[in-house]
Amino acid sequence: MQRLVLLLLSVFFFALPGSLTAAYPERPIEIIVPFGVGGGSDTAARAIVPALEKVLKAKIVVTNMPGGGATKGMLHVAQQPADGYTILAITTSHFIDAVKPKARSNLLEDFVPVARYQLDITGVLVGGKAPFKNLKDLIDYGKKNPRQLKFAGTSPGGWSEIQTLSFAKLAGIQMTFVPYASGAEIKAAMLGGHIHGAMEEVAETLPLIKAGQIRALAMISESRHPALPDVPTTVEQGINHTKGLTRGFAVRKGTPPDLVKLLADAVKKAMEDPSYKKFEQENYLHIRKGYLPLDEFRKAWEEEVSLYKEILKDAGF
Amino acid sequence: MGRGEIVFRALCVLFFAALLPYAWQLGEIRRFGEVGSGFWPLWVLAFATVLSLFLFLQGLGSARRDPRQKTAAQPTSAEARRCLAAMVIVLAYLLILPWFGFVITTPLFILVFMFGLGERRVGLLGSAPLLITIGLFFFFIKFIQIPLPRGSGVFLTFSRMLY
Amino acid sequence: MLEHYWTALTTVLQPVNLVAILLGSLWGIVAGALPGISASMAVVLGIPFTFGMQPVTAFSMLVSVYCGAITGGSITAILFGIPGEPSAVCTVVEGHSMAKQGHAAKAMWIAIIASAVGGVFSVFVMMFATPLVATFALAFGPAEYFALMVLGLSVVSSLSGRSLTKGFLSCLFGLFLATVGTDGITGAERFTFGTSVLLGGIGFVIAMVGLLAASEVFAEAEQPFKEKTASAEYRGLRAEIPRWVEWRRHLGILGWSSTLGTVVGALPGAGATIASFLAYGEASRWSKRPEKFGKGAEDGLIAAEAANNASTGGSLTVLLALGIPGSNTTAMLLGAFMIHGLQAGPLLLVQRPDVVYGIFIAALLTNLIMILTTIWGVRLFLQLNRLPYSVFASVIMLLCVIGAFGINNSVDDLYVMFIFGVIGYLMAKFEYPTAPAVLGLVLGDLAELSFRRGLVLSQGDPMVFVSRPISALLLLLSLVALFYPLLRKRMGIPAES
Repeated sequence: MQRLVLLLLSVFFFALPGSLTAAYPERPIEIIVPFGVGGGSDTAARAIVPALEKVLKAKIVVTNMPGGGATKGMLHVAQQPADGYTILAITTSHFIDAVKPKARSNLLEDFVPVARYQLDITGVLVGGKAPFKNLKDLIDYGKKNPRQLKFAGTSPGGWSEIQTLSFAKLAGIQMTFVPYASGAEIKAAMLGGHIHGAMEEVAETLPLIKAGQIRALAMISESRHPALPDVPTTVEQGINHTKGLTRGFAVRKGTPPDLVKLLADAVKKAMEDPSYKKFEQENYLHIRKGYLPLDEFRKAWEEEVSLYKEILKDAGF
Repeated sequence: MGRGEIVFRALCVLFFAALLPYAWQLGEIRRFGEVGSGFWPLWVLAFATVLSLFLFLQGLGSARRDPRQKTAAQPTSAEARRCLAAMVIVLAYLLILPWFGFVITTPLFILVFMFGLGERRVGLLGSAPLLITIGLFFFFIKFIQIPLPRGSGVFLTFSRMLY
Repeated sequence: MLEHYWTALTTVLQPVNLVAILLGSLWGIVAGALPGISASMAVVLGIPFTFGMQPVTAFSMLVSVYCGAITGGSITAILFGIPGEPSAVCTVVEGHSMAKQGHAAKAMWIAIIASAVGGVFSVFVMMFATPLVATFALAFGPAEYFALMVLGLSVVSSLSGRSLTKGFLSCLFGLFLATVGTDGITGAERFTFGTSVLLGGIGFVIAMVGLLAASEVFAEAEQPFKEKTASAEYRGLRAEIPRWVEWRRHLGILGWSSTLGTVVGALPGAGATIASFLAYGEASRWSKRPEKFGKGAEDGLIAAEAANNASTGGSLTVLLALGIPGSNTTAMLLGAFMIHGLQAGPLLLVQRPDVVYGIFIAALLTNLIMILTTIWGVRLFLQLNRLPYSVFASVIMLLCVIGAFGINNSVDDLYVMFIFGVIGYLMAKFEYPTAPAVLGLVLGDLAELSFRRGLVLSQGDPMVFVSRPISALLLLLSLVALFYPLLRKRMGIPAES
């Protein structure tokens, strides 16, 4: 009987999101990953969820809504009530989308940041058979042969192309970006010598690097990668480019601020949980400080968005 | 050849031809060295338009020569009605599904669909919809965790109590 | 090396591992047979059960789920004409035709045996020829991929049935559908008309479920009320146990399809579906009875089933040798490796030979055990035949709905599925074959993107496609293949009835 009354009450108060915050979270929370199962973003979200469940004392369901370069899942969240029960897993792709004129939902306008929890590191990778032994070889070749350096990536006009173009621009060379459908195809193409290389997050490629079949020429970062201590950083090589792939959470605009704050604190606590720490260390995601809450995260959004605006304009998108 | 078939062939021509201009517009978007976003769809649609036009004219010709000849088995009007009813029921189900949620709409759909297929055994009409829904609910929603539509408003609240 | 196999064999033969393989393949077969659950989803759902298991046990189970799912797809394909897996489309064309002629049990046996042979063959390749397969797969650049897809598309002439023109038109429709959505080369939106529904393209599983399964329910709805499900006449599996004499003449196709399946499975981005289409096409060309294709050709069924199961071994080969997943499902396995703290790649064989050899043995056992579990699966799904027709039709329609939704968890996809159901119904009504449309949709994307990727790499020089030997050879073969049925007709050999 009591449950029934509660149910009826909740039905009546359904339209008032603020009124429920006192008991938050009182039912399962859904995290929408706008990418397919098994991708980097999905794995990361699924890795932090158990710890987050412990902190929030609620069940968290991860739902994948791939499609349209991270747009479909984002649109879905934008249409849900702003009650903190639907969270969007965001990545740098969303910053880039915000710049494009045709964007259907704009991250800056429709969402508020919760927290960043990872800042991944990109490596400049070439196939083991490629004639480049170090970054200087690569850049020299690129300077002598404009457009002849063929680097692959997964998202045309998205993160991997922008990362490639920014690197090329700062290194003073012109590269040809070759779009592929998946990281697996890129690795195979690199091993087979069909392309020169790719800018990729290194965790998944480490076994091939260790086996000498793929060579890492540089890490796009300030500090060296502990698993690859011999590989120099871009900063050491005089290229002032250290951007990495951001992974974080956002909720719909209009979500009560105290609730967003609660979530941001929960993410911080979850990141200290041993289960997540273990995941971070195994995948080398702890090298750069990941956690960035609320307004600091917002500042990072805006900075990156304006940076990408420039790069995209240069590239003619 | 029946009139329905001629109309279908004409629709094919219209479909492919109408998309041609869109493919043409895409032609400008390209990367250095390659043929661009419009190249492939343009050729595909052009070939499809030609082939469908050929089939349409061929159909017209054979219809004029021998109007009674039937190449494909034409459904009788009763058959067409039954089939159309099935389609309408499914479409109606898919349209209300996002608003009222899977748990509420599915038994209704099964009931109406079975009735539409001519089922009149009361015991079956009474039991099957509930049993199938419960089975699908536990297998797909509880076990496999597919978040089938929950509905909105009051129905969302109701679904949320279940999954 | 031999002692590795010996240790692996004794490990895998432990009861706990055998039970894991048995359960895994049972689950795989059920999941594979249901149109709503894909092979990769079946593996994902299995992963949580492997937490806390020894790696050998865990991967024995997951690999058996994978192989089971690919085989399971043929059960519903043959019995009901609904492909449980996308890789079973050709199985529908031939197997269901056989079932309609009263040979359901025979078709099922053919599928079971061909699957087992294809699977076992690919495991042997994985054991003894890994470096060879890996080298060959890596030699495939965009030009070779493009040529391979063209070869696959040339199957259209044998999938077309009575009218070649209609077959080609249907295939072009599929090729067009493959271009809808965000362009993989420029990122431009194509044919989305400003909506977000088609932004991600038309998922081919969604279109396939509509074209082949929902359309069947609509077509059946025309008939006046039926009390019972019109089950294909089914004489019981025992009466149809295949005889060696019958199989002898299929050996060539069996071997060739298994080889093809293994190689195509090893190519990242291709996979079981493309493998089965290619092998089916080859079989239609080299078969001694090409006129039977589309009407219940045993050769076609053997080719499709041997190839899609052989692709599992090919996919696993590149996964274990290089850490590169050759298909969606092996990508899930890669994730499972990480969860178990293993790093798939060239060093895995050195660091953890027990796991790698364990997987070899488990894959071998799975393909053998599957003969029994598939028979069990057939019995299970035959129970559906006992349902009153109205109930059966509702269940099938709901499986289509749930299956289409489950791919992207998107309501939009339901309407896409429905529209394709209506299109499929109309196509069948006016005798336009639907299989070529599925073919175009499956191969079209990779064909176009490889073509343009090849041009990006060559900076606009189209000669890449003919100057590279493998690519040139494949293109030549497809040219022959495309005109072969026409030639044969001209020469008076009956290719079509």
